[in-house]
Formats: sequence, structure tokens, C-alpha cells
Amino acid sequence: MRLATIRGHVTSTVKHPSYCGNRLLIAIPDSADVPPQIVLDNLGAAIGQKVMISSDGSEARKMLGDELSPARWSVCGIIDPEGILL
Amino acid sequence: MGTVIGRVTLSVRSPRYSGERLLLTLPWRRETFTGEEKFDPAIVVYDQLGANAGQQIGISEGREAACPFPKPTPVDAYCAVLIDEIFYKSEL
Repeated sequence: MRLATIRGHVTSTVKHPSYCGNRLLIAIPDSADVPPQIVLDNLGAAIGQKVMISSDGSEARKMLGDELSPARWSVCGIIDPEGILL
Repeated sequence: MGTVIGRVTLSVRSPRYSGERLLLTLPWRRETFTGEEKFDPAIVVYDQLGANAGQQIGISEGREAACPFPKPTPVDAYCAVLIDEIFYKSEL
């Protein structure tokens, strides 16, 4: 799981049928070694919010209800504004 | 995410491939979103949606790329989304 910031979203007409009706957000991971990702979101993350994203494809497939979906990254939690305690 | 720059064709191929379209794609880096012409090294992406050169696509990489195939297929990058519009906010 990675910490990331939501910086935007994308729209698409032609896509794998499993994605229909789902939000696709642009997440920029905090660590520089991971490139920006398009992530699935069913929690309602907003632009500017810090989130936790997971690269677990089986979780994404369960979220979409399609075992043949190529989905990989999904938002698995929205971090509280003061939620990172060091 | 990536930008399609061309296509790859095969005459000798794995028997598991059938009717494939292979796209040569430049994966985006975080600088690409802010308008810089910087990309990661090109990768070959399996496509079933019909993307063309110049198009922006969403790529699924890793084990998940082979999930849309009923039989095990040697695919590790799959074009999952043809992107119409990007809304990106660089300054928060």
C-alpha cells in the first residue's frame, strides 16, 4: 500500500467493460519511485486529498465484481487531515 | 497512463496470442502531467480496444494485465482504458 495524493481524474468512453460506472482518479504517490497511477475509487476521494492506494488486483476485481477485469490500483482508504503521525 | 506512439506486428508469435494489436507506448511520469515532454522508456501494450498513435491510454501492468484472458497468456501490459479527457490540478 502506498500513500498518494489525488490530483485529478480522467474520463473514458471506450474501456474494458468492467470499469463502467466507476470513478477513475489520478493519484500521485508520495514516494518518487512509483509513477502516477489511475486508480479506481468507490470511497469518494476528492482532489487534494491524501489517500492510501493498493496495487492488489484481486481487491480491485472484487470491487468491480468481474474476475476478468485488468484493474490493479484502487483507493483503499482516505487519510485524515492530521492522520499521519510521526 | 501512456501515450501511444506506434504499433508492433508479429509474424511468428506465441500460440496463445490471437488477433492481437500491440501498441508501442510511452508511459507517463509525474513531469508529463505538468506539460513536460518526459516519458519512461517505451513498452509494448496488448490492446483489444483499438487505440491509435497519439492517443492517451490507461495501462494495466503486472499480473493483472493477463486477467482479461480466459487462458494463461503471456501479457504484462494491457490497454484497459482509452482516455477522452484528463482533468489534472498541478497546484493544490
